[in-house]
Amino acid sequence: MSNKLIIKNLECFREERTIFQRLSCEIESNQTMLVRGKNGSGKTSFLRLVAGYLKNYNGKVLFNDNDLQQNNEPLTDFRFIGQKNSLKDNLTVRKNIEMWQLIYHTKKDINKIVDLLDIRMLLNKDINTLSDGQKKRVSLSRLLISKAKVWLLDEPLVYLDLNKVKLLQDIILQHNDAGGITLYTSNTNIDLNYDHLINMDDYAIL
Amino acid sequence: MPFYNLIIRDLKLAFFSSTNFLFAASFLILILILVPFVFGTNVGSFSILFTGFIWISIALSILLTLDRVFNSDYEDGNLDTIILTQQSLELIVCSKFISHWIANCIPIIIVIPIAGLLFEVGIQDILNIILNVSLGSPGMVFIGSAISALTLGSKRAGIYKTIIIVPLYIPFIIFGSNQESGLVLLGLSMTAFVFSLFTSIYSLRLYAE
Repeated sequence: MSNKLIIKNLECFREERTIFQRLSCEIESNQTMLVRGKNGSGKTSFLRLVAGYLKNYNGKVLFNDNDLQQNNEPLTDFRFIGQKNSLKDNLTVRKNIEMWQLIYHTKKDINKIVDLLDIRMLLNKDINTLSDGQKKRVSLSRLLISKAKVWLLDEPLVYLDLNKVKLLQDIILQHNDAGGITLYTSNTNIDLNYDHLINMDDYAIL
Repeated sequence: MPFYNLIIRDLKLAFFSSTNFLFAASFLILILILVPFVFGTNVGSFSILFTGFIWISIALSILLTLDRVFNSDYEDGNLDTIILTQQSLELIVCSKFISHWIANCIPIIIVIPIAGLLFEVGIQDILNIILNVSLGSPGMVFIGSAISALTLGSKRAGIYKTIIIVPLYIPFIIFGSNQESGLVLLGLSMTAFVFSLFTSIYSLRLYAE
C-alpha cells in the first residue's frame, strides 16, 4: 500500500492576509517531513491546511490524486495532533482515552498503546496531576487508537525528554514502515529523523 | 455510526462533571423549597407560581451548563479532533443539541410530576406543563448553543452570553406559561432549530480555522 501527498504552489490566507505562498512539495509512503521556521512563519497554518481545517487557500493539496479542496468526505486518512492536548482535566487518563475511542469509533485494546507510550502507571491518575510532558504523551496516544495514513504533528517534541523523543521516533518509524506518512513541525534542537525538510521562512510573508 | 458515539460521549462527560443530571433536577427542587419561605403557606397561589418556576429553572439549568456544549471542547482542542472524524458539521451540531437537552432538560421534566404533587397542582395541569416544557425546552437549548457557538473565540464570555440569550427566551416563557399554546412552542422550537443550526455551523467553520 503506497500513499502519496502532493502539494502544488500553495498560497494560504488568513483574514485577507497572505501567510505563505509558492509552497510546493511531494512526500511518499515511508517518509517523514520536518517543517521548520520562525515563530509566526505559518508552520501550524500549513499543517492545519493539509489537515483540512483551513479552506481559504489557492493551489492544490492532492492525496493519492484526490483534490482535498473538492473533497467533502471525512478526512479519516489524516490525524492531526495540535498543540492543545485535547484532555479533559477532571477525568483520569483511562477515561480520556475511552472518550477518544468513542470519537474515533474503535474498541481497540489500549494495553499495547499504553506500553508503547510508557503511560501505564498514569492510567488512573487525574489529568490535572500530570506534568506537561506526561500530558503530551497521553495526547499522542490518539495516533495509535485508530489507524490513519497521514500523521500531522504540531510541535510533538515540546516538553518531551530525550528518552521519550526516542520513543516517539520508534512509533513514527513503525507507522512509516506500514506505508504511512508523517509531517511534523519543530523548533527545538533535537530532531527526529526526516527525509524532507521545509523551511517556512522561504515561503512566509511577514 | 459515530453520530451516536458523539451523543454518548457528551452524556458521559456531562455525567462525570460536577454539574451532572442530579444538578439539574436538584436545582428545580431547591428553588421550589425556597418558595414557601418567600410567599408564605397560603395554598392555592402556589399552583400559579409553579409554571413560572419550572420555566425559570429550565432556563437557568441550560444557561449554567452552556460552556459544556462547544466551549470546553474548543478550548482543550477536542473540537479539532471531532471535526476531523465526522463527515458533516450538521451532525456534530445536532449531536451537541441532543446531548445537552438530554442532560439538562429531561431530569427537570422527570421531576415535574413529583414537584407538582407537592404543590397541589392537578394531574391535568401537570400533564399540560410537561407537554409545554417538552416542546419548548429544545428551542431554548438550540438558541443557547447557537449563541455560545458564536462567542467561541472570546474567553470569559459567560456574562455576555447570558445577556444575549435571556431576551431570546422571553417568547418561550410567555407562551410556556399559557397552557394551551403547545403548538406555538413547537413552532418556536422549530424556528430556533433552523436559526441555530446555521449559526452554529457558521461559527464552527469560522473558529476551526
